[in-house]
Amino acid sequence: MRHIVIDPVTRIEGHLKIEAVVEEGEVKDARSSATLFRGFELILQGRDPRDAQRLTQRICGVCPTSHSTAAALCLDSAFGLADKIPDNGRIIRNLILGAAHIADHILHFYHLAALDYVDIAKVAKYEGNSPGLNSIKKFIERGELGPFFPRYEGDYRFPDEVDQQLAAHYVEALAMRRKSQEMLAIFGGKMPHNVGIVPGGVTAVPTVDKITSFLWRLNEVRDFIDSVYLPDVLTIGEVYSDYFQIGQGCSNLLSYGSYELDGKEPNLTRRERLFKQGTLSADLNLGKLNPSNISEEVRHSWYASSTTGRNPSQGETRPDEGKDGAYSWAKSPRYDGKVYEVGPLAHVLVTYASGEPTAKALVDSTMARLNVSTAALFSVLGRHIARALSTKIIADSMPGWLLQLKPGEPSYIEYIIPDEAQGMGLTEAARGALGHWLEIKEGKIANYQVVTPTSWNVSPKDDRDQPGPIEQALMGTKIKDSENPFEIVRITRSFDPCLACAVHLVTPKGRNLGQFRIS
Amino acid sequence: MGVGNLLLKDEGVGIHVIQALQDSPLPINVPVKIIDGGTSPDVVHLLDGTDKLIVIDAVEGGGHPGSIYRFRANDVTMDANIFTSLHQIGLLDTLNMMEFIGSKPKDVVIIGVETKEIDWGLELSPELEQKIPQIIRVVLQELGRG
Repeated sequence: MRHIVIDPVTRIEGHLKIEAVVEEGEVKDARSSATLFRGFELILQGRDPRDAQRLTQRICGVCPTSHSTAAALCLDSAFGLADKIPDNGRIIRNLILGAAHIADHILHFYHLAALDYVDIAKVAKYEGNSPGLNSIKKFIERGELGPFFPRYEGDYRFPDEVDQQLAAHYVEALAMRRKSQEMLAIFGGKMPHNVGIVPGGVTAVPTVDKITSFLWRLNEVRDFIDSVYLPDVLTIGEVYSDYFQIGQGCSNLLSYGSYELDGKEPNLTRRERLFKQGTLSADLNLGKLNPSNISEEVRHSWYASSTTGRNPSQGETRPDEGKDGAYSWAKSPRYDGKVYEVGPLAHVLVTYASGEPTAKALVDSTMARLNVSTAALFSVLGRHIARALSTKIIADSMPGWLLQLKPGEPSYIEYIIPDEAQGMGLTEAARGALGHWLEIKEGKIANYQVVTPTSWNVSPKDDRDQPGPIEQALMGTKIKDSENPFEIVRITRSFDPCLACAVHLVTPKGRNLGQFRIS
Repeated sequence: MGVGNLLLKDEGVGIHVIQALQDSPLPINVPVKIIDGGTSPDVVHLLDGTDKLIVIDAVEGGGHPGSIYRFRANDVTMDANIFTSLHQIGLLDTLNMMEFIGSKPKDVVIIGVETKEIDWGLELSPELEQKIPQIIRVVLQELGRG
């Protein structure tokens, strides 16, 4: 028996510890534990409800735009505005969120996940004129391997020229991330922490200049998605095809849906959205989304046991460090008492199963190209493919949205903050279902709860000891080389876990910077 | 560029300094961009075309709360133990990546401020709050160094 501990899992956002018990080359038990504490809800209590919009963005630098969207939807609903957002406001929110997700998906694939499959060290052998590759080569020669290491050794399968080409795309992808962030800032004002999305709509008005400057960047990014990103994902899919059988997980998918296509339906579970709302089982059975089925369990989390099993609208964050039997700072969100995976796989497949023609055509043609069934999409590679298709679906929707903008018309509506109200904001962050819940009393925030997508995916065992999605995806996995457990990191990273929302409480070891002290 | 989390008291000192800098006259004759890097590792688009980058961040360097340090990225081994949260690793990776696209700032100086308390809250500890004018002087001196 061998006990593998990976702490922290590198090249994810934030701090995650994975423990796996391997017996006879197979993972028998797995524990995913968030070693960071999340408690910012406490500082929102008693504040002006509009502060939630500004402050929740600050809990994370990776999905600030998704938090600002969820907070705006939450405040819209509490302020009675959910059916009154002007079309310009609704569409500009879509454009801001979409630009963030495109940047985020490209970052995840090229700069975090692809390095599990691409041997970037082979760039050392490169003899050519690409400035990007030559600068990576110089970097490797200097022995500064920051973004690429530590890594495992062994299972890299591409010939040198493919590794080098993918490394060149790694560099190109940086430029595309920059373009997407610029797109975001055109309407969002700035990135990180955009100031565009607010309750009532957005602060930016559409002008022909802004639309044009967004569009020319978008065209370049779309070209990259179609001619580089998608083909690269398929290249990995062909050569690492065993990863269609690895990391299946719980096979229950949950999507809140995202990108508002209709501004008149106040109920977010019924509103027409680009990505559809619902649950999906492995046999592609669709279920309707009912947020009251969501509960957060804490039997194995460091929170007071008396708070377990509550719907987030009644949620409470009461830390209980060192609690017996607990091993994570993440709670265990469950739907109908069952374990659900969230993320692009969920929102793309729920949309596919809803019969939406674009998603259907894309998923079907990708499966035909790789000669795999829908069942194979519940896997490590399925998650990467879904993330790429999600990126394409968003980017391809944007030109149409830009055309619907009406310069000269409002993008914001005035409102009055109610004394008593409840709000709920559901959307999809880049890594899956994100929900904000709010209760206002005497005009102030009485309670604010956030359930992040990573909470769903990295959740520990729940009150009935059902392991969380990543834990289930790890269990039963065959490990070829326990010194280099590629399978474990590839599975974990395919979920794109982000624990930056779960900031802090690692005790820093400290380090003496004394010689650099100037005051 | 200030980085850090405004919601975690002293962890957000970089952002507090940036906010105060926005109201200070800059006594030099070169274009200066004041950037709120917040908690994001993704700042490539903000730093493009920068000659000199001054990063203001919270650190745990072993000194008294409010101690100010000045160092460069290659002065110390960059691991999770120096900075008070994990997003700065992303910043350093980002600077490395900017080298690949040829847009890394020519000079990067880090002004670190020793923290006292990192916990949920929007206020700085008094020890750090009273140091803000001095930190700003250090930053302005650094700007003057060209």
